Amino acid sequence: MMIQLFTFFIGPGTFFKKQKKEELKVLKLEREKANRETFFDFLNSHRPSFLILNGHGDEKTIYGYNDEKIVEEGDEEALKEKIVYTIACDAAKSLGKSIVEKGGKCFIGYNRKFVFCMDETRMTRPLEDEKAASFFNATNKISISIIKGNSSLESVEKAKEGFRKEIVKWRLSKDLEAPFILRALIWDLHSLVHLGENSFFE
Amino acid sequence: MKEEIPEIFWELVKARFERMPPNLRLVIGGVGSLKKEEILNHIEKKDEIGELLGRMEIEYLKLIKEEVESYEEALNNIARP
Repeated sequence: MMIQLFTFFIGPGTFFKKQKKEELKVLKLEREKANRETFFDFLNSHRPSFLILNGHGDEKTIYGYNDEKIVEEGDEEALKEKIVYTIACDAAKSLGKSIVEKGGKCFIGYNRKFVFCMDETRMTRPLEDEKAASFFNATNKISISIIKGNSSLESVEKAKEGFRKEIVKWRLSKDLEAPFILRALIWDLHSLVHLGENSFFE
Repeated sequence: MKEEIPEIFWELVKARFERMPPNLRLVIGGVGSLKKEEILNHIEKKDEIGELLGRMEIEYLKLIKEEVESYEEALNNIARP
């Protein structure tokens, strides 16, 4: 069975490693393709059931390339019956609520700003930055878990467990950076929310 | 309603971030990558980002408090005959 998955990578989203499986159809909109017109063309032509939106955001909007508004309040109809996961800051506050109230299956995101730490000496090699990885390893568990067939609530719990493991790791670390990484991890753990019904990617 | 961050607490937040290693960057979505000096500036101004950093410190301390209380409870249980 062909399952459609829509991913939408811009900016920090390029940190994410893609999960490839034969049965999945993965569609990506990167850089200049991350614009509103292409996004809605994709939604209409491919009808994906799971969306990962990695732009930045605010309470009512998720932005794409060049800060173009991609999804905002008023677009809920297009997201009906879909699972939406976004790392965009604050989006769970208002936009996420509105999406699930108007027919979205569930919305997973952050109700405050997503925060992470980076090592300046690794900025040109972000995938080798274990400090940044602590955050993305945890939050990436959501999409990986959903794709593997776990429910949306289980997937959020796996991510929270991931954050807790990283918190313990840095709590035991003697690195000078550890106290700051710890604070940011706790912040993200408390900001991650699941709205709507417990859903499966099908 | 959000509780206001007490004045004395701002000193604590500032003292904490003064010890941040210079190689570390704090990336805040929608704001960007912040160096130590920029962080201290936001804390000094008590602006939106300063407030976020203050609340981050409160949540950290609450977690430590819970941890200490759980140790206390465990120790009390061991001590009981």
